[in-house]
Amino acid sequence: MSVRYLLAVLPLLISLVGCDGYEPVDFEEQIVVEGYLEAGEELAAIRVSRTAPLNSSYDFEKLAVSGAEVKIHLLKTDGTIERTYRFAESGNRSGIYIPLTDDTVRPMRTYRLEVSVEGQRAPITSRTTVPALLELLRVSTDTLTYQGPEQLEIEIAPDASTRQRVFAFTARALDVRRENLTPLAAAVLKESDLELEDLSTGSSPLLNEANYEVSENGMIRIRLPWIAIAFYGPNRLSISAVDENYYDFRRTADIQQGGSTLAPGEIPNVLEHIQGGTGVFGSYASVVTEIYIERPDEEKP
Amino acid sequence: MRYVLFFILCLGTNPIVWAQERASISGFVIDATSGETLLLATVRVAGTSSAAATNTSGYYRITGIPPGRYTVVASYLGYSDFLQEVTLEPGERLRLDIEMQPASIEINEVVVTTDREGEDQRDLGVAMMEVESVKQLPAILEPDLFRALQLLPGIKAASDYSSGLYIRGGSPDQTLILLDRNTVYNPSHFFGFFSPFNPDAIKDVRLYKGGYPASYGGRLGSVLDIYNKDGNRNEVEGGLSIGMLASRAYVEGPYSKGSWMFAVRRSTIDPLLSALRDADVEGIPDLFYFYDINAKVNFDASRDDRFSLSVYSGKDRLVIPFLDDAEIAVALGNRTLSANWTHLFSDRVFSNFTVTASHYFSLPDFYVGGTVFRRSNNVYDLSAKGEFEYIPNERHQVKAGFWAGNFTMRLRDTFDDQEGLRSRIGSPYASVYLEDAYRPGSLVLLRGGVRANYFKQGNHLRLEPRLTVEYQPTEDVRLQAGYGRYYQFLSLITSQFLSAFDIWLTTAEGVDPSYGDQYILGAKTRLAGNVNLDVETYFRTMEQLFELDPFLPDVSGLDYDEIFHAGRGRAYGVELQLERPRGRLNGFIGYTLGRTERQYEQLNEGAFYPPKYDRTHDIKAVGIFELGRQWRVTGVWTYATGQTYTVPVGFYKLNGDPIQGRLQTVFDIKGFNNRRLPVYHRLDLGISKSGRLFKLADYEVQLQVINAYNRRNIWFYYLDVEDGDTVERTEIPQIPVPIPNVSFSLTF
Repeated sequence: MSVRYLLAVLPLLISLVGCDGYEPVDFEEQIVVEGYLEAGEELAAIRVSRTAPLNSSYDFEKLAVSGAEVKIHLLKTDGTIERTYRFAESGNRSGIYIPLTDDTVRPMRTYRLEVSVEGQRAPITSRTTVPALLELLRVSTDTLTYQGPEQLEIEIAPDASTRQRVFAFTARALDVRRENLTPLAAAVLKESDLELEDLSTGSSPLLNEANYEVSENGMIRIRLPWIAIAFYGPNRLSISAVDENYYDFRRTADIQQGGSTLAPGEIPNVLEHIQGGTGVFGSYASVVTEIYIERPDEEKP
Repeated sequence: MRYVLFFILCLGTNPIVWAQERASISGFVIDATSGETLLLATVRVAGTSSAAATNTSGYYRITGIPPGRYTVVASYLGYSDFLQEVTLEPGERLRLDIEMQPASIEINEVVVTTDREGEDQRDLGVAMMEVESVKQLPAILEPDLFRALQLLPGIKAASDYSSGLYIRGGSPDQTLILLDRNTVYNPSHFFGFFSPFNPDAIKDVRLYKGGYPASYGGRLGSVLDIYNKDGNRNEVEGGLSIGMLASRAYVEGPYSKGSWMFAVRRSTIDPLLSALRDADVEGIPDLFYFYDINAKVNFDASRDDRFSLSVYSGKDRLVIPFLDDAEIAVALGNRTLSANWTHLFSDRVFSNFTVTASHYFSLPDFYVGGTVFRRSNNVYDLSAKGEFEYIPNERHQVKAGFWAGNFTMRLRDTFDDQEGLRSRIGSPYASVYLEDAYRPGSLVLLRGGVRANYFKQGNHLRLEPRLTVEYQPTEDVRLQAGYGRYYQFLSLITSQFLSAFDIWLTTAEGVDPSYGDQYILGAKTRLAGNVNLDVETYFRTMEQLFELDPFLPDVSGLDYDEIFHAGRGRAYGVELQLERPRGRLNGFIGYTLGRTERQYEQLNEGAFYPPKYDRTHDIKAVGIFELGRQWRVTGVWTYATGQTYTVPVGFYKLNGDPIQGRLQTVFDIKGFNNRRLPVYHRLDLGISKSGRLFKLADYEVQLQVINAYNRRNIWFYYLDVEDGDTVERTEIPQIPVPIPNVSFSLTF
């Protein structure tokens, strides 16, 4: 066999097959909608903005979309509209749309967001079905020693639906001072570019209901993980059950740069349930309690 | 008269009468100095077309030899040819066990040419790796079998930090890895940096890159078949090697009825880590070590019966704080045991029976601010295998066998001391196969077979046909073609970032096994000057690839089939290898032109995309130059198209998440893995000096430099939104600087 013939063919093969085949990535602007409905609470503001090119600086004020028509429809079970809530742009902040009527978000009901932006051919839409209210039945204590033998236990009523709920814990420190930081939070502050205020609210990853035991009386017993606590002192704790929109968005956005089996540098698209745009329109139900976190004995002055 | 003629013709062509006149030769081929069997050694009868290769037990049989006087020639790379004259009587079955002497490299180069030498090593899809090469080539801290295999055409690495084998577009779990016929489930040390196979303990390595025969099964892509040494049957010998990361020692020798071998490797950087901790250097583990232990004992009960018991134990242990009040603790490893009986029923029927036990464990713990995340993954595999080879005549070589066992996977997750997931999958499995290598003439070889696989979990029964055809128009040219269907009942959930948390999952009800077809064409030629040129082209399909859904933050409470997402893949390419296997200057140049793609509904909007390890062009040049009896220079140069990565089209921020309570940057993605990193290239050099130390032992000192010209190859980009709300791109490099490596070895 002639090696020379083979070597002559190689450049041709490479030129035919070896091209990368990937076109440059051009910026495509999208409309971003962001809204969250909490069961049993008043309708919250909706934010409307645009995506920014990768090589630009993000400034919500500059990217905010003004003059959009924002509505939320409460739907009946057959999908028709039962009631429409209109929003108006905030007087002092572009891109933020406030509901014109006070109404309470109804649990187990479906809402459809509709945002019409000038220049867009079709409105941007999304639907969410609000989770059932959480019923807080018992809180084990109102004072705890950090990482002590006792952990905060909260019991909530079970849910009648067949699909398990997904929870997230949020702890908001009410006395945000550097000297109140837990050791872990202090280390995070030291090693990162975060500000003190950035740590005042900590949240857990999304956790399935199956993680938690069922008590003797059939209640869901949730134990607060210490990882959620960043500050000693008074903390407002909330447990939230999230809807499918929030769950899908959060679980895909959280791993865009690692934390899953995807290879480094592989960035997946977020799973958002927005038609005609991007962002998140989700809902949740939560219960809130307050607790005082004491320092461990070895840290007390 | 007609009846007489008819009778004579019948006698002349009566196969029974004809066969009785023909003779055969069979036996084992071994290393004359150590007694180790030599696998795939070529034995031929000079002046005829009769030849055979030794099997995985070192046994050969040549049949259909007309009676007469012949010279039997045996050849094996690295050994002087064996020649012996024999006289064969009609119908004689000669038992000829062959002892071959290791060859030494002459200063004045002597090229020994032998017909059909190493031919079976160049079967379709096959690549062989000499263990000595593994120890000679430049290595990152430790000589490593897998890193040496990554230099072959068609085999890629995920990064400089990973020894995982990505063969012909397949992921590492698509390669079946066997050690003394036992499955090894976690072939990595030091979190994927290198493999657990101690080169001092290995005798033989055979890699089927694709198109593997019916005697193997259970993986979509490839088979890596590794055999430990049996131990020197003639004298006690051993060695010691001290390196920058780890040290090795081995000893082997005979006893009255056989041989034994013991090899150990352990990390030896504990003093360094301790000193760094005392100096308050950040990021130093509180505990880190790894070890391997290989042991084997052989019992030669008779000429026709050999027994062996082979064990392996390896472990990695790491405890490292990464913040105040946070640490990661990991323990993972393998334990394997193989008990083997090789029995010759007759010179025509060879058999092998093996009982195996394999245990893989991965136990990562994360402790973060008083909250513990704990995972426990254990895999147990108990099996029994039987293999039979029946060589009735020179035209047929029939193989048949079975492999039956029980596979158990246990997975348990706890969060904050509460169990969130407990899964146990136990599944018996069984395979049987039948294969025939049929040689209708001296120029053509047909190897056809079928394998039936059963996996009880999910009640899956699958058939796998295999066929290869080889045509040898001239002595120096072999043309090959092959097809095979392959099934896989297991899936490895791994991270290219860090392999410490690997989990094996299985098919089940609602989770069908993966499957794929392979089509291969090959041409193997022998050129002038002791140079081989091999060309292979392949096309592979991959269906029903079941993997853990990467977007699930928590699998607790989900049905088993809900934790997966299924996808497809395909891979195709051409491999060229120009090799000079012997001589003062030896080595090879390999080039691969290839593509691999995957498709999952949740990624890239369901369209095919190239995974990170897809590299269009891949060139490797490996050279070993013997300067003299004491000096050797080695070099490896690799070049590859840059790996793929994702460039977002834009980004935005979420400002009002009431649950997270903080800003979150979100990247807008159109197209997955839509860009390529800059090309990758790297040069590694090494020089070694060997000699005799105080007339007691042979020594070798190696000095190597990895990344000799300081190439800063990129591993990936990390995007972050900095002050001013701009996206900053940070380059995370592969090995960014030249890394020296020094080792000292003694053998006695």
